[in-house]
Amino acid sequence: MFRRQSAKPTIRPRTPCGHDLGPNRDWIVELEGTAKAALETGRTRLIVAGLVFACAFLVVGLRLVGIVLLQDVEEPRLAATPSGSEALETGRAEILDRNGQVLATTLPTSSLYANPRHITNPEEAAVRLATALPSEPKAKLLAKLSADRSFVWMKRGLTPRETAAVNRLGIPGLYFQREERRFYPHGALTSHIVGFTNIDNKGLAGMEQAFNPQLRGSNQPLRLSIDLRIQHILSEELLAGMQAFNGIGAAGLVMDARSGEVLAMVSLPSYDPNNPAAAPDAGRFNRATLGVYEMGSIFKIFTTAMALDSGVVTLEDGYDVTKPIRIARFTITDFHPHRGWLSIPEIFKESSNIGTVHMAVDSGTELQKRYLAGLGLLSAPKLELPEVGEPMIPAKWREINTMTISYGHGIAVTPVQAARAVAGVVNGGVLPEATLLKRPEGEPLGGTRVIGERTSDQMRWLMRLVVEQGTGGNAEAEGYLVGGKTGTADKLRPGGGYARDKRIASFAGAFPMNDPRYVVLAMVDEPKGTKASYGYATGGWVAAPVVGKTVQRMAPLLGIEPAPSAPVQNELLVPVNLRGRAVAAQ
Amino acid sequence: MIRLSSLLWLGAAGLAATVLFQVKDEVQDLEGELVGVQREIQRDREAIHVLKAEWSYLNRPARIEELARRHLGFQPLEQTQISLVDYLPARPEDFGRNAEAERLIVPPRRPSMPAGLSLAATPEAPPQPKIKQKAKPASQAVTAKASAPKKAPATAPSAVPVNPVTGRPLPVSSTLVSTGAQ
Repeated sequence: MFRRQSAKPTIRPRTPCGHDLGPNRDWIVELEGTAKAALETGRTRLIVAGLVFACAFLVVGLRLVGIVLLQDVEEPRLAATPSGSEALETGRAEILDRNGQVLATTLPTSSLYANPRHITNPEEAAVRLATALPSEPKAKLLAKLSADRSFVWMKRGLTPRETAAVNRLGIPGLYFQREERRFYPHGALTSHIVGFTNIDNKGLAGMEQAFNPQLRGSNQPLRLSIDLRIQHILSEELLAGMQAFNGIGAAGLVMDARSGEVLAMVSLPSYDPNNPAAAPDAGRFNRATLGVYEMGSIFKIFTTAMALDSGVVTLEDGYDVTKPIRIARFTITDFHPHRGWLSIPEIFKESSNIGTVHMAVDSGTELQKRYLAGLGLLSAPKLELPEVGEPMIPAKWREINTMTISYGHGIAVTPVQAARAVAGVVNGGVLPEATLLKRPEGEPLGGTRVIGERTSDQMRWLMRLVVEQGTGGNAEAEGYLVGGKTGTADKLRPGGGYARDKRIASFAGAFPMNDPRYVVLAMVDEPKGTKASYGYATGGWVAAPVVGKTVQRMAPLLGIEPAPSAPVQNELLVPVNLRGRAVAAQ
Repeated sequence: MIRLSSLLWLGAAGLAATVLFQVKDEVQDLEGELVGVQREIQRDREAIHVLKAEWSYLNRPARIEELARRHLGFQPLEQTQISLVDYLPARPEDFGRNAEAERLIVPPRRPSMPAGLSLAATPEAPPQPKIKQKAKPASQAVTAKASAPKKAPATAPSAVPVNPVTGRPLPVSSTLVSTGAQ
């Protein structure tokens, strides 16, 4: 109802029914038409607004009761800390080895910068600053301080002592910027794998480059397949072998024969990733993955595996190796010439080029290509590193190529490819994918079958024979049944043809040969014969001992059970029918 | 009446304000403390991070090796230092219980396998020793003949090796122990 009192009754109101209400009475105005509608709207709006506000206050009140009186489940019991994770948040994640040892980490440092416009006396400031930063030449500091700019880096990555010294000087216009710097605790030991970054923490080589986005994007450490202990052992033994024979370089690999994980990968000479600018180019070059080399007789493993797997020969067969093979203008001879027939095991054990070439020729070019491609030797290996070399294969595969490739000349592959192919041959015939990342526990092993299981058994026995009685005797590590194959390849002369005095001595082995777990490959570049080796610088003298000593030291660390030789040897024995000829395996 | 209720409300409001002020003050103190603790945590984390790097640096294998050589006289583990528990000689109380126990002698120079034990029985190896498969290639009768005498000393493949003392089967590969550790 709408009531209004008026002081001046100048009109006589009537009820809607027409009754006269009299002049002096309080009267009610009943509005009609548009005025009434407007009032009604106003009232409705007021009621709605009131209801809305009432609801809002009710909600606020209830919420207040809820918060104050009732325990809110979602309320955290502890105040949130700036970062939820345990580890320190850095701009670049750590790189760890397979056992969690830190290979690369980011350390907080401070960098010094100046605003030259705020520096009143550049000469004096430069002189004083030079006392605090002895490594910086005074002239350079002065030039920076007198520049007409408002920002100039004075020095980046100061040590805490330098920081304190500069602070003590109290020169206005000098400021510190908190920065992060990459640090490699193991320095040159893992430099070719881990790589390094530039001053702005951008990966420039190795895993640092390959995983740059992942390392920057998360705080999750990158876990490599490398085992630091094995890496150290291999590196030490390789260095000893290289120095003993005055080699110019060396490379080595330890690979898990089943999973293809690289446990150690060494390329010598190495460099310090904490100061990559000081490294010579030769040191930066990764021989194990980027360098391609003619591996020499190591390829006889693949040729023999191919011939046995395809049924071209059996272990009981043999070839006459008396006559050197002449083709075009080449003559293929043996390092230790033999007369008469040699059985397949003997050809392998004595590393006879002639016998191996016969095997390859009987197998044919197409088969050779197919098997080598299957073993991953004709295409660049898939490895996480950016430094991966493309193998050098003949553009046209003639018969002469088939012949030379059978014993490892005329084809150049990276050591990592060779190690992977050896793993495929000895582990039962399944070629694993080489990787530098740790495989998660229980992940199924991939890989493609390249040779039959029986051929793999035979190859294991043949490779054991090489160490037991053949050219690889120096690789023996008592109890661990090392098997392998030596390789000695003449290096190509820059002008063409082969240099007789420059060679690559290598050994590709695996152990324990009754059930191979690890493949070990060692290679020394340009070794020179010594008195102790009677002037020889062949794979058997140079690289085989490196592998033997490495195995001797690493096997106990990896929990490989040393086997008493006799029973396993008997197990490995294969009788050979030689139709009256000399017998390789007694 | 109106006066009294107003006074009551005023008093309540004043009380609330005081309590609120005190709580707020307390919270501010706690927040300050929290910031301090968080800063300390961050500092500790940084220190841990740096110490981890230093730990890794001090654990360089070359350094450990050098220190071990200089101070401990350690050398790499050799095969002769590793044996199986089951190759230990019988305990005195077992003598007489098992005639074979007395015959078991300690290996003269290095632990070696007791007769009749073969690696072929290693759990992870397939029951039919893998490598032996090549002992029977294809056809030749000559092969079989030649192989027969060689196999004989190696194994009786089906017999599970048994500890002569306890009579329980020998776990071949699982119980590796280093004699140096005992």
